[in-house]
Amino acid sequence: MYSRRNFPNQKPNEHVLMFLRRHWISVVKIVLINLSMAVMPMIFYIGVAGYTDFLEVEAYLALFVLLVSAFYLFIILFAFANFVDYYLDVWIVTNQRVINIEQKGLFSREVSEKELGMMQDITSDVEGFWATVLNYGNVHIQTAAETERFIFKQVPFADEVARRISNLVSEYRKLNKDIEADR
Amino acid sequence: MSVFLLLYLVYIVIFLFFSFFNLFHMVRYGFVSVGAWVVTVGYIVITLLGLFVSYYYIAQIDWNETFQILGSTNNIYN
Repeated sequence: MYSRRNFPNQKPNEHVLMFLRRHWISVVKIVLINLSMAVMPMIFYIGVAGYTDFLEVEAYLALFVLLVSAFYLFIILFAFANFVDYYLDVWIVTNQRVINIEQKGLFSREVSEKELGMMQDITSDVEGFWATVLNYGNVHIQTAAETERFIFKQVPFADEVARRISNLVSEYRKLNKDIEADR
Repeated sequence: MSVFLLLYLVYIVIFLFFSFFNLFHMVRYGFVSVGAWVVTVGYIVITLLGLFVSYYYIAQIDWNETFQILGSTNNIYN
């Protein structure tokens, strides 16, 4: 496991300034979706056992046990896989660069990074009722390359994050200019 | 009837395969935190509990017996 202060390929004198994940509402969504799925077999059981003799037939009871077991194992796995996907999507802003780590499914992982000096246009958007109420949104960072390189998805305080990164980019460029001038 | 049990066991193998890779990702690439530790250990405990409860109910059924599934749909209503 990595720590928040020490991440892979960390450079000398590089400090973590922001460590971002999606807003906690993403975890709440995972929990609610899986809880609502988990009550379905219970509703089915109450409906079937209450109004029919369906489960008194041993063959159906056996199948019901297998299906319910398989269904609950699926829910547990689905919830955990969603949490892993949430937990491993990380955006790190250091005093030198921005690092984008995204887990895309079970067998795909993307890590990209760019120096602060390469950042050109930093914008944020907050869309929707819950995003407005809970104050989260997306931060788009345009790099010197033509295609948009980074999107911080559903991060808390998106406006503040965009503003801080803009300030960091300005400071980084100013510092580099001063160093060049000293040479 | 044991064919259903066999299919279920295949499903369990697939389940364990995906569980292993999810746990591997958490351990290999996750960032240390109490929350991640709780969720990971919680997942292992709940999975073991789920498998144990499943085994408890499945073990009560005689899987060697021949069940008539399609013919037993008569008279299931009260």
